Amino acid sequence: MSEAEKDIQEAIWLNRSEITPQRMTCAELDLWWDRIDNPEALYVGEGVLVNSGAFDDMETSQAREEIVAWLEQRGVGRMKTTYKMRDWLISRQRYWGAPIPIIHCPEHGAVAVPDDQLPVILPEVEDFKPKGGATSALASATDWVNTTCPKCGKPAKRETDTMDGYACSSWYHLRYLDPFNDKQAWDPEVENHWGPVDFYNGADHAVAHLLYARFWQRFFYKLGLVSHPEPFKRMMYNAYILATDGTKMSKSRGNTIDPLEIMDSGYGADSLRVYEMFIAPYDLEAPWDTRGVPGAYRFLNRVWTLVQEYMDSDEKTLEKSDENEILVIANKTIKKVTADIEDEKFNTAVSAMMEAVNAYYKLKEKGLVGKSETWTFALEGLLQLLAPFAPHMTEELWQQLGRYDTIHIDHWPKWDDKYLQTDVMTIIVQVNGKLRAKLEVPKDSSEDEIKKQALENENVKVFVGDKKPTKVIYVLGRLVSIVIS
Amino acid sequence: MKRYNPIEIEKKWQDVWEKNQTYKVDFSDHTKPKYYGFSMLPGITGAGIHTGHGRTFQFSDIKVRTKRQQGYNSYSPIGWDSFGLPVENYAIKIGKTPRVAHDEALVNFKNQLKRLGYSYDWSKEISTADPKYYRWTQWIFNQLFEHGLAYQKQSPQWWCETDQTVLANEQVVDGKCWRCGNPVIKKNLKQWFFKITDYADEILEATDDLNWTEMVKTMQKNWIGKSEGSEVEFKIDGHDDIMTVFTTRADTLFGATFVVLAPEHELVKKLVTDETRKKVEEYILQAARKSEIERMNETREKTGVFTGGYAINPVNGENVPIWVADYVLSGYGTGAIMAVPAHDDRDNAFAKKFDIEIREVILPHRIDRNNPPVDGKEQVFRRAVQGIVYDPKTDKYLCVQWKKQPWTAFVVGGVEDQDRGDLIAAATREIREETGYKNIKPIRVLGGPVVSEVPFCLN
Repeated sequence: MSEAEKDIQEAIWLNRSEITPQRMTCAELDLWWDRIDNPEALYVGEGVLVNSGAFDDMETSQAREEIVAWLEQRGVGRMKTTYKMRDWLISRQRYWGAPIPIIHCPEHGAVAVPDDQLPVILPEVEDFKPKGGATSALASATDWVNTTCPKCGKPAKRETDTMDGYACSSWYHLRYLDPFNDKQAWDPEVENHWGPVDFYNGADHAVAHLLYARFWQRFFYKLGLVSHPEPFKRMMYNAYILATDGTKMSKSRGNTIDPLEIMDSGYGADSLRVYEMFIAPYDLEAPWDTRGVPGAYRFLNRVWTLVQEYMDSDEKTLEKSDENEILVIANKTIKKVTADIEDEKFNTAVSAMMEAVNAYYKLKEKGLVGKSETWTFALEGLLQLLAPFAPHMTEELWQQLGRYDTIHIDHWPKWDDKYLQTDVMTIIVQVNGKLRAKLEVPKDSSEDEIKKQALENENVKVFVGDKKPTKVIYVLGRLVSIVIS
Repeated sequence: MKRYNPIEIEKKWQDVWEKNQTYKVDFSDHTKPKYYGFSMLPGITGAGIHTGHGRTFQFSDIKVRTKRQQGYNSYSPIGWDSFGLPVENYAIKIGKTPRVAHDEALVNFKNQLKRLGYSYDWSKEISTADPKYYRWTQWIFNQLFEHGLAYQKQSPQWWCETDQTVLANEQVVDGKCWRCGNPVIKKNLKQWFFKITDYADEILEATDDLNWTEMVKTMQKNWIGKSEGSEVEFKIDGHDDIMTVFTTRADTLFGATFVVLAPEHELVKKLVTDETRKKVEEYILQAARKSEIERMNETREKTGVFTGGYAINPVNGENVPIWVADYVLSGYGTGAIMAVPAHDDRDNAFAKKFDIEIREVILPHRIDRNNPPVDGKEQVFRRAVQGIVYDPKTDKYLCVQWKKQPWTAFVVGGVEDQDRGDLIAAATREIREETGYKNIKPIRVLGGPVVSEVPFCLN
């Protein structure tokens, strides 16, 4: 190294984690690491052209256009879009499906069975099993196969392929809206009010079924038969739950659980339903836990008992502060569960109700349960929130509380924001014993949140600098003390 | 105090709801806002539902129940996916007709769903195998047929002679039937298709705006698999025929040093010479026994044979050999590709194996984001070499840090005339001059040139 160079630069040794894009004046750092780690790596990305005649030094994105333009001028190339998707193969050489309504005429080829002659009834056959060859078992129903051409009346043969089952399930959301119509597939006027489907879910058929249904819906839309081009406004794709051993539930593995078995063992449907929602977020796979249903049952039992004790209690005038405590729990829970169901967070909706019940039990233990408007609001509210999850028990308790109509229609509780304002507290932050900041935080903030806020405070940062605090102590509701050496 | 007895109260309320038609919907009642929700309809097999299915059905039940409580006219229908292979296979297994097998299994399904307390409007139940239903499935077929969206076409399908049935691509493993293990063949069958490809663009475009689980949207987009690119025509040396390739990287056309046809491509038979015919025909037979999934397997060793023919690269007039290889599929694009071994992994593996020229035509181009070029400041082009020195003892790399500027870099220096193109010599010299280290062992050259825009001057 020359003396002059020593003045302007120095050699240093850095380990890999120190050689960051931020630190290095090296635009192509990613490439060096790639090439060091994988000597065989090709360059498949964008860049500039070389060895490409008149197009040298051009950026790849521009070159793509100019080379195609050059080819196009000479008639040997053009822009083109391709798709991986192929057309939908619907022929099945199997018996159990909707017959394809086509008649093959030697003269007129494939002719559709006229609409007024539909349905083409699937005939009964002696042996429905596939026998090979390129036809289904329908080929053996010769009386059925041999018919006449709808165009010329001369002898012709029916198509013996049946339709893929996906055809049947590509439009059932429309038939659901007019299931008995024998004049048309559905009445567009009914669809106009009821379509599209607001909520649809499943754990399978993410590609084929949903694509086919969208394709048909768009076709119907063009024919003016439906009001929207898309069939499903919201499609929630949920994960399956797994067997207790963490594998997929399947009949062949013999690890499936029949809901009837659980219900009949005494738990009933409601406990099962509560556990089904509690087990995990909808999009996460989770193994079945045999302790889950008993747990849900205990929860429902607690709700049951709370309502029974309330009904058996005397009139009670509550202190203002107790009344307020009950209303805070009730209103917080109503808001939380309402939002969670809207956002499809069914599991946290259940936990919120469990928390509410725990809180009510604490009040019960203090002897604070007694007939009053406040408790009626709290308990009726809880039952209404729980009704979608445990429809039977909530209906029963609703009636026991003296209601005569069903809980399941037009009964949903409303929350009042005035009970939801959490109070704030002031926390003093000290660095080495000296006051450096005051924080205003909600009263229910966790210790971690408060410490984090303290450390991120601008003024605190000035005094901490880049040193690492040796101690951070939180004194509940009062102060955070940071010690640096 | 009453005790909680679920068995008793659940039966009681299910009966009351049925009697009162609590969940029955009047379609013509527009006094309330509507809510319409359900889960994918159950396919009927012998086993009934398990708790995993039950959970799926319950999601829609919770949504619909909540809306019903919130004042909506809320409709949750139920129906049965009655037609199709699962029912037929189940019927074969238990030795009954599909109709009987289905109707018997349905009894349990209904019992399960009713006991679980879903708020279905049972008065509107449907079944896809009911003639009153499939009459309209057939009517839809007619509509599609009339509009040119249903057509019949010969197409090669996997066929298992033992099972006497067509197999899906996914059911062919190592050229054998997944069920019986016997080799399968491709059989040309006349089949009916619905022309969903006419709607591909429309469906794709609308996908992003759907309020659907993101994963499903991604899967649908990948399935549609739109790629925007170009078609390029290659004349064939000594023939009148033209082969057309599809590529998304027309910018790499000068690097196309060979072209590949799928074994099924009609041109293959025309191109073979007396010398290549036997090998090519053998290869085509072998390829016919492989499934597309196997052929697409990236890690599989590439196979192929030279056809004997040459194509003319339209941009530079060069003759490039025409190979046949099964990593090119007949159903995708045109069944022919231009191979750019310098910039495509599969083409590269193929070229290396068969010793075909690899010509680099794209250089990476990087701009230093910390110090981007400044408008009005002159940029100077220099050929430079970098030396990346690694010390295995300390696991560290040698860098140079500027004292007056916030720059740190590997050792960089200009390539001088005196180097006469010897880049290793140039790098070694730069390392010595800039850092003083002399005991350097060159290991390897880290790839080809890169175009880089950086702030500092080279000395």
